[in-house]
Amino acid sequence: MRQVALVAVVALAVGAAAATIVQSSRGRAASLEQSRSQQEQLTRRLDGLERLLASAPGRSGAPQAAVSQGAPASTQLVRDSPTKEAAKTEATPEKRAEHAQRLQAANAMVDRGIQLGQWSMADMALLGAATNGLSAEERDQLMSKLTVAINSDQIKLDMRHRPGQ
Amino acid sequence: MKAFRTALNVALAGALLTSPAAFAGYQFNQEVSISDSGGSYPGAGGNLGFVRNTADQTQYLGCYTASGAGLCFATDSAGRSRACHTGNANMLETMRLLADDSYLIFYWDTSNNCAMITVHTDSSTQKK
Repeated sequence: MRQVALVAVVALAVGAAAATIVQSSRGRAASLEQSRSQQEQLTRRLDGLERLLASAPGRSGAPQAAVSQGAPASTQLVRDSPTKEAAKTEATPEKRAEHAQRLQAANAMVDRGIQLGQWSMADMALLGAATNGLSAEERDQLMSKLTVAINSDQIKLDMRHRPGQ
Repeated sequence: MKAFRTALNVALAGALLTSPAAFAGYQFNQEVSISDSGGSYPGAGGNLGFVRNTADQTQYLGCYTASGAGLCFATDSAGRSRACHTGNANMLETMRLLADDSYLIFYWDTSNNCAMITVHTDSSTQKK
C-alpha cells in the first residue's frame, strides 16, 4: 500500500515538473518571438532613418564625429532662413533700409580688413555687433568671406588688439 | 649609523627636489599645429595653456562666439593663420566648452564651414 502511495506521489511530482518545463519553454518561445518582433521593428525604424538621412538636403560628407555634434552649419542656416526672410518682407521700408545699411556696413568692415590684410579681436567684436539683427544666412556669408580671406593668407589674425584698446 | 641616516635623508630630499618628474602624471603639450592637407579635412589645433606659455608671442588659438555665429582660429609660430566659422548650435555649444587648459582641434570644409570641433579637457594638458 505504501509503495502504491509512493509511486503515486512520484508520478504526480514528475507530472508537475513536466508541466512546469513545458510552460517555461512556451514562455521562452514567446519571449524569443517578442524579441524578434522588436528587433524587426528596430531594423525597420533604422532603415527609415537611413533613408531620411540620405534624402536630407545639404548633407555633406562630414565625418561621423561631426554628425554627432550637429548638422553642417549650412543646413541649419538654410532652415532658419525662410522665417527671417518672411520677417524681412513684412518689415517697413524704413526697417528694410536700415537692415540693408547694416549689412552694407558689416560687409565694408570685412572688406576693410581684407584690404588691410589684418583682423583683430576688436574687429571681431565690432563685426559681432554689426551683424546683430542680420539673418543667419547673411551672417554666414560675412563669416565665410572672412574665413576665406584668413585661410588663403590674405588676412593675418592679430588677436592682441582687444576691444577697447 | 646616525651619520648614514642623515646622509640618506639628504640624498632622498635632493633626489625628490631635483626630480619633479617623479610627481608628474602624463602630460600632453601641443603648440599650434596647422594641417592644410591632412586627412579628409584641413584642420588646426593645440593646447590653449601650453600655447599661452610658449616663448614666442605669435602663436595662439581659440574660438569666438557672438549672435548665433562662431569662429575658431589658430595662428602657428610661423604666423600662418587658419579659421573656420559656423552657425550650428551644437558646434557653438562645443566652442563655449573651451577652458584655459583645453586641447582644441577644429576642421573645416571647402567653404570654410567648421566640419568638426573637438574640445578635450583633462589632467594631461597645461593650464595657462
